[in-house]
Amino acid sequence: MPRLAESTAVQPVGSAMVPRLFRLVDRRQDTADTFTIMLEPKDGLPLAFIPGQFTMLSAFGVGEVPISVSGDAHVAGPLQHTVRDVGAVTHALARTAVGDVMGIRGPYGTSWDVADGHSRDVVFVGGGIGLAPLRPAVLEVLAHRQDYGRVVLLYGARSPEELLFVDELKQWEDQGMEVLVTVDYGRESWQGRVGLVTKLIPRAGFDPRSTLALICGPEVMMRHTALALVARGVRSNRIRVSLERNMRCGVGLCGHCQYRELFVCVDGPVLPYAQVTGLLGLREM
Amino acid sequence: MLDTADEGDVVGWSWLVPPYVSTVDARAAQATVVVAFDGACLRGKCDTDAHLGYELMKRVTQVMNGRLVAAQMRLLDLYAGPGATDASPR
Repeated sequence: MPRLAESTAVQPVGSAMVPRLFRLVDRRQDTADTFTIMLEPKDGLPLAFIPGQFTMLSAFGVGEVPISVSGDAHVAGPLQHTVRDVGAVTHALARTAVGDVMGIRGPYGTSWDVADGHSRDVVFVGGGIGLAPLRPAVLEVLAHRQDYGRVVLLYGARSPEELLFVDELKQWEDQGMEVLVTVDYGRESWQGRVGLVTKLIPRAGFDPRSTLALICGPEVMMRHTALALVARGVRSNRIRVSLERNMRCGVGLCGHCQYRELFVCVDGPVLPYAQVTGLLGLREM
Repeated sequence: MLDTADEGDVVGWSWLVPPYVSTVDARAAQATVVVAFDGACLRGKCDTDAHLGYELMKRVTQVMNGRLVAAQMRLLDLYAGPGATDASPR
């Protein structure tokens, strides 16, 4: 007698809801509460994704969480997720060790579609852990650097200790990206900038009339960043944001992530700012 | 540290607001040219030239507004966001 998950009778719905098994092969502590896990599929079949997509990552016996993929979409290797330890599931994931098995459904959702920025300037704006979902898009643009105009990363975090991918930021600069970093609070030893990420926008070298802007961070940060970009002259339909909502099924069935007419898990998470201008800041409905 | 000032930025406005005492100071992180004005002298000129006073007030008010918004954003904890729960942790 097959178990329910293996029954062909439930495959049409069940296959979307049954996680694949992945084994943790490496782990890196990025900041005090944020870590990156590298996962290999137990069945050996790599999980293809496009920058901007997320998966439902499960800690068995605890629950599932939506986490954007933070690795390189075009380089073979372990699947990477950068996770902030903020709740029961992410805390369980934080306690995993190399060799442990976890579940993954997906990938789900829309992409940053960075190819739309070909021959234009591309501006990435990341806030806090929002740099993690942007990282695959950054890597894709830098891998095809000659196809783009000026490429800029504006990155803000609470403090220097909470900056992600610090070692990579220098590499990205060397690959032709202008990187401007700011923090809310800097100690005496901090030699970098202090202030809001929005304050970097007038300082950055890009042509607003020919710019694709990709923003990822908490919604209040994305809202103010988008307003500042529009004030500089970037068209709102050339700005994309990655929305966070209470995603559960990942396939547009349960409605937990519904945002008026949008199901963020399938219509998003990456959406044109012009489409969500009036919705940013609202709680889910 | 509260903020980074760039080329053309105004560092302080304590010359304009009684009791005309600085509440913050600034440190140059690199070789910097800074223009300082005599606050009492500037207030006197604004009192006698309303046009100058209004122009300065408009510009300094923008700086004040920027700092106020920045302070509000810090209170909101700009980078915390809804990612503070498992439902949407990024």
